[in-house]
Amino acid sequence: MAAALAVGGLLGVCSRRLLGAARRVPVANALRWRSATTGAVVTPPEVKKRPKAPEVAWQEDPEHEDVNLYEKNPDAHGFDDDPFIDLWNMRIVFFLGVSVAIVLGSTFVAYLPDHKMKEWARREAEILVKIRETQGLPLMESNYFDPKKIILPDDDE
Amino acid sequence: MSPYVLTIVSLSLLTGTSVTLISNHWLTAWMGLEINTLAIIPLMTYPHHTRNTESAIKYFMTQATASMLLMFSIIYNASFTNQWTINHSPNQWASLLMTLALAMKLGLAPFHFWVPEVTQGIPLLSGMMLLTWQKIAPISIMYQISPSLNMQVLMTLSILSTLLGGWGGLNQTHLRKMLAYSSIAHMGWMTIIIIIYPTLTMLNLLIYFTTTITMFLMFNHSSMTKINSLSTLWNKSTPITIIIMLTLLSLGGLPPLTGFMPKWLILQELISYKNMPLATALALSALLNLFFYMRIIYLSTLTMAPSINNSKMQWTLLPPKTLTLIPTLTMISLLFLPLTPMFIVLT
Amino acid sequence: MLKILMPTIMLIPLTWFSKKPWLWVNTTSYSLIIAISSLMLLYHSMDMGYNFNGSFSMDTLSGPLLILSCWLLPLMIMASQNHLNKESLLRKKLYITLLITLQLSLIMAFTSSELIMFYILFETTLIPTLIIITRWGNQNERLNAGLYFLFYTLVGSLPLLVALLNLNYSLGSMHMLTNFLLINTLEHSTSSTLMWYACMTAFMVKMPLYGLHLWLPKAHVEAPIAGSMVLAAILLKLGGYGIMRITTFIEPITIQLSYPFIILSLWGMIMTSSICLRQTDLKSLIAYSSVSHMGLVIVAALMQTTLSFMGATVLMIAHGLTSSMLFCLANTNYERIHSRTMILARGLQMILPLMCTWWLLASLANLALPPSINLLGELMVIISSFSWSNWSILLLGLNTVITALYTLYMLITSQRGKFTHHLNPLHPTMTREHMLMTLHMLPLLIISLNPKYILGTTF
Repeated sequence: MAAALAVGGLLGVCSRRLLGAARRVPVANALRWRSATTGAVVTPPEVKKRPKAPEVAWQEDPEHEDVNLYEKNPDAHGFDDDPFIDLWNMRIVFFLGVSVAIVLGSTFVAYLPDHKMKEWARREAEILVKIRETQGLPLMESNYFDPKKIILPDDDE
Repeated sequence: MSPYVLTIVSLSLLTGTSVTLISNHWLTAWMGLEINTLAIIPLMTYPHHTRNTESAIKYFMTQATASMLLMFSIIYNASFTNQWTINHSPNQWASLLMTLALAMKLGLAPFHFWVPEVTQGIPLLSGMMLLTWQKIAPISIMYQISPSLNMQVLMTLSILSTLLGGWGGLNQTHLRKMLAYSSIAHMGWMTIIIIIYPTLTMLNLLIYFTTTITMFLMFNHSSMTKINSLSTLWNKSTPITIIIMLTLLSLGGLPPLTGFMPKWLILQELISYKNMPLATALALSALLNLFFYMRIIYLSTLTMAPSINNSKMQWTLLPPKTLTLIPTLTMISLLFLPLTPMFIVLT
Repeated sequence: MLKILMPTIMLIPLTWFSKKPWLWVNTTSYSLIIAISSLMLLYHSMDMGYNFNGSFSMDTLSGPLLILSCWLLPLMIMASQNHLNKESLLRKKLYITLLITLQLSLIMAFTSSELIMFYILFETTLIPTLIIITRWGNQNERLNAGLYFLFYTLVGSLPLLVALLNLNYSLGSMHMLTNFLLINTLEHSTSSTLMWYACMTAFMVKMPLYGLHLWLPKAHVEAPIAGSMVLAAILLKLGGYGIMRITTFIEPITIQLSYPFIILSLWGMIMTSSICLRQTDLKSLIAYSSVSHMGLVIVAALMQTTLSFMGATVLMIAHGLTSSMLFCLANTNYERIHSRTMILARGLQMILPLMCTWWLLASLANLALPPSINLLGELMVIISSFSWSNWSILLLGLNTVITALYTLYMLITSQRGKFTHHLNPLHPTMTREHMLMTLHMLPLLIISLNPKYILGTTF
């Protein structure tokens, strides 16, 4: 199967050459033209060696001609040549950029709840401090769990 | 070329490779290589030209030398082991000679000089066959005897090929020579991993094939052989310039294109064998290749109109050729990186 | 994550199916909507990252950078509108597509939680940027600049790939969210030192560290406006982001090995600021000032303290907006004068007074005047490096002074003084340009009201 596929592929790759050979139109002859009426054969003239191309240094891109948008449209906003599109592009950018993104966006961000639960952590800490103060315990100690409550295995286990 | 001859030649080209692929006897494997060599020579010399003939002779000489060396090592091996089966334990010296012979067939570094010369002289499609199809048979023999290959020699050859393949291409202005040098470098990538993880070699070979065939078909489309002619490519077919750019970046192994996949996996394997210096050197040598690909990219794509173009328009004597395979091949050679897990499972 | 990614992908068909007059309107408004909806990502209910799926996640470090890259796309599109005015429709669409592809790869790079995935996307950003620089740049030096850009980055980052694969092999996973579970302590040996260097070089080149920075001024000078903007605002931040991400994988040798790099970037800041003082090219000046500011970020990211990480994150966002704005301003000059040479465009305050206001504001933000967040970032970095070594205040103080000097030099040369008469038919400024500056400046000022959202992971 694979071999058949490979044969197919190979023939496919060479098919142009095969077809060309079958039609017997050598490429070199395509440049000659033989008149059907007079039988005169026209061949391309002897091509003289072209003069060497002048060395041209790379140039910069052609400078666009400056167009002052205000000449055509005194109310131009710099978005587009067409005044209608220009106006609407400006309106959309102002609405989405300033009204929505900046104003609503900053409002949204300003009222986001409790970044990384920092406020919650502080509240919890204050509650804990109050509890420990009422119980007369030190505010902070190195044991997270009460050591008495931890059941350790016997030494001989 | 008459269709009958073409059929016979192509079929024997196919037969040669297939014989090598399926044989487990050294003589038949060797015979397949010979059939392969002889069958491509008519294809190489087809539109008769002295350059073609020269290339064919160069090719024939190197391949004959390599075959002779291979035959010698086979007989040498047989005289020690008394058997002609392709197996994993050839004699040490025989395996060294085999490595060298196959390296010569593949065009690995110290034996790489024929590759650009031969590719330069022959038509584009024959060049494509030479740089892709002709690699299958030698690589398959290498694959079969991979555990007994000489590690030091092979690694030296591979790293030399990646370096010289990059280095040699820097000075070229002919597209076929550039692709030949890129083939040398890719052969280095393939053979460096063949002892450690032979299936990766096959993966690399497949991806190299699709990418190189894409390149050759696109060059063939408008019969381009020099980088000069690339700068007027945009007014023959603009999409092709973009495809050339992306395919070359893929050939250079830039993520996120397919070409990164084999490089990534090969580096990973080398690293899992704790061979970091070699991996780094190999990775950096790919940049040499990328540099001359960048030259092609600059000329073909990134300085398109309306930038001022100083190259002359060229006569379009030959009509543009068919582009049937290009879309598929482009997709494969550009967008397969996300499928890497699937390829790891497949190989 | 897909809420941002899918709309961004759909921007490409929007671009290609837009009718000619509505092309800019459609792309600008759609990308603005994406940017607005990306603000959701600022919300972090817990002190951990969001895990979108197996390979994408986001935390408080990548979130602000992600929003910055979403915010920059509409700005880039707006900025390029005049530059591309004379190009054909096809090329405009191609250009916008490239910008969108860039944003796509940036979003994925900032959210990828696997380091090799991050590496792949880090490299992916190269291709569209390279095309933008070399295809749409103005001078023919752009080809050289593109090569510098590509090869500096690749030579730096291929050792990173090798190092990452090696880390992956020894750790078994490169997931950023779970890396603290992996037992990984590098011992002090030559090989781990080499690996540390390999991991760092890519990001040092990208930042860029002084000495590895030569590609940056070239790329900036030659790139078209959108290229300069995205390069300064986001692509450089990939370096800082990468350093902060990868140092957790190569503990604990960073403390020892970072010394020469910190010193080099402290010294490099002074050097590059001094280079700014003698620049004649406006864009090159802004590019060198970027190098100088990024030096601060390198110092902060290598110092590895909580305060310096916060400073680095703030500074990255602040610098992203400021330098992008400065490049826009330079571009408005360039579009009128067709030259980047500062001496040819003096006294613009006379002709473009409102633009002069923006120049003033941008310059003040660049030299870190309150109430911009640049001040916050620089203060944090200076404080943390002062506690790292008291002597660093000498270099940092000197750098702050030189920064102020060259920013004022830029401002005064371009805006004040006598108007040069070869510029007589100078076009007035447009609403579009003022809008562009506003959209750069307002976030910079508003964030300083509540900067905790951009303080990064260590806040």
